[in-house]
Amino acid sequence: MLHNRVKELRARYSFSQSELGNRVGVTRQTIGFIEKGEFSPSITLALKLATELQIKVDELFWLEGEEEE
Amino acid sequence: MKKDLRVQSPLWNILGIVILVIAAYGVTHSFPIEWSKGKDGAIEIYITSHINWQLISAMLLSLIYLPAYAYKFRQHNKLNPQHKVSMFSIQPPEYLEEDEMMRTVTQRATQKVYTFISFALPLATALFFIPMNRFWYIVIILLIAIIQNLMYYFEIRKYVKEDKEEVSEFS
Repeated sequence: MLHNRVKELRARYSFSQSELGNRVGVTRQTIGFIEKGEFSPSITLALKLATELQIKVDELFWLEGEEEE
Repeated sequence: MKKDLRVQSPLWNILGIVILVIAAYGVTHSFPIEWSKGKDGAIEIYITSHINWQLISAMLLSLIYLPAYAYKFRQHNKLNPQHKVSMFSIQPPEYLEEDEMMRTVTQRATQKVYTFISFALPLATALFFIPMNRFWYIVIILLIAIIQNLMYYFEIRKYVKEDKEEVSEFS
């Protein structure tokens, strides 16, 4: 399973799910499902999210069992 | 998004199919076909006609259903000019293709429907070997269509039902 810090970082930058979705070109539902770990984004989307949230992609997403940085 | 026509269209399809079932009953019972084998071996076919209330009801319901569905298309296209759908397109309106998750969801739903259809059609064909009123042949096909639409709707609904915006409340 793919874990992530999208929700945490979205809160840090005070983005709503819609705002973040608009910035990376996806729907609010998609952001919600990514945050819950129920949808794994493509590399392209993961990179876009990492850019918007100003973090390295491997610090934003990591696989279960791997240590969170 | 729950109210998006592309999400709701399977329900509209089901409504249309129910009207078709009523129409099928009306037609098959308004124009019953009987045949017999004459003494000379020739097959004689008799088609009688007597309009029944089911046929009239189906026609009246269609007069309400079709303009209402057309209105929903117009309304949807007005509100979503970037995701227009057409009532007369070969492509079903229910495909969601806004982003990669929606495309994945559509793919999952169509895959489930395909799996269902691939066993339901041969099963239906086997049932067609049983002699029965032609109304029931139509019902079997329409029943498959209803199940197909329900499966599609419930699969898509899982991803769009959560309509509450989550603002940044992480602590």
